[in-house]
Amino acid sequence: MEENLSGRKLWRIAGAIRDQLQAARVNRFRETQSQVQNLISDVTELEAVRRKLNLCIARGWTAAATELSEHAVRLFRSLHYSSKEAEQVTGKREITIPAVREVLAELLQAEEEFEGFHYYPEDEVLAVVTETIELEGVYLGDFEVQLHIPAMGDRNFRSTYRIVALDPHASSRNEAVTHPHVSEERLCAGDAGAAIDAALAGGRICDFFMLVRSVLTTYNRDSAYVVLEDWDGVTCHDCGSVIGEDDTYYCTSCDYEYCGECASSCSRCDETTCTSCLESCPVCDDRVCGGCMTTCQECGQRLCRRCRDEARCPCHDEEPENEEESDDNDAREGTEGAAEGGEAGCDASTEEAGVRTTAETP
Amino acid sequence: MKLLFINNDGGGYADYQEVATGTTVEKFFSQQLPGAKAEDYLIRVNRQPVPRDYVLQEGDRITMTPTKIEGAVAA
Repeated sequence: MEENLSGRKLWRIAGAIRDQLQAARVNRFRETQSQVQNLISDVTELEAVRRKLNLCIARGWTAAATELSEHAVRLFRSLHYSSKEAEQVTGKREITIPAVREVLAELLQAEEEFEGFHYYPEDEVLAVVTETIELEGVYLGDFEVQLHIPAMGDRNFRSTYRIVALDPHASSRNEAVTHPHVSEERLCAGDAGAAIDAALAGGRICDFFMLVRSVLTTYNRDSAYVVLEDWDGVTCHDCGSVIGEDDTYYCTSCDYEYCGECASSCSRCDETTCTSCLESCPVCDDRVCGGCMTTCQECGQRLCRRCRDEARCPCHDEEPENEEESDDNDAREGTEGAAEGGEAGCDASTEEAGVRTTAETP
Repeated sequence: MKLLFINNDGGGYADYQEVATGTTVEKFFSQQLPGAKAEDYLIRVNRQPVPRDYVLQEGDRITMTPTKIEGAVAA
């Protein structure tokens, strides 16, 4: 349940924010302490390696010295990694602890800048509501930016706030995406990331809300969860109907998206393929994708791979028959040819061969 | 004279700056963010909107927050 904010209540919220910033600062020190401890452990181990190496060299234990050297290399690598990590942790922006009255001034400013400034006492969430957002003609509705005060003491500030769509108009491609830069109520702040971190680390609550609003009211097509052109679904490349992500079929042959009506699959590999990219095998009549079609090496006939592998190309049947046919022709030419003429004999033999082929085909 | 400048552009930082007496908000903006357009920023002095010819005073707190910031997909 949201709460109206009196001066006293605001003062208490400001105090709670300050307490969390102090906790965050202590956590930062603990993190540095842990990094230093890791480095000391590696250095201590290196010292042990040094002592053992001294002994190995003095006694001529070369095999043991080789093993120790390898161990030293592993420790050097670990030290390199640990020191880089330690540098990153300790080099983070310092958390400045503002006075409670400064935080209070931030809250009062936020109250002026945003109409829907309010507080949820059960979850200790401070929230503002943006104006209705419409980007490039796509209505997205208004959003509530929720700052979870107890989470501000955590190491990862980005988990402390959520972007809740109050009048959700999620992408039909992905219901978790309510804004091109919001997925599962989390904002990918992009260029504002560092400034948001700095604002939170300094207790500049109003600046934080304003920065988030600036991201929400800007569209970066190159780095959106779902681009606005596809917000309301995908257009089937074949029939032009608009479809949701779950109903989209991607043709691996032509790289376009299709609706269920216009998509099919290859009879051989089962790969989703649009009907235009499927070919009929002239031998078995199955519809197969381009990848499963091939040519007969002997006659060049296009056919599916299975028919080729099973030697079902018609040329395999025709070759021996042609030879028989040729023998028959020769024989017939000997008996009838003189009377009927070459052309007639050729026609008759073709017909006969045709009948025979049909009869022999199972 | 000295004032507190909070720049919410880029990395976002707060620092004290020395400025000449009589410096207006408009001049200070062009000094701090050369090439940027003032209409793309929310400029507040002591947490209040001010006209561009407002003359900055000793101890003023000035914030500049871009109104257009590109978000991105998580890496």
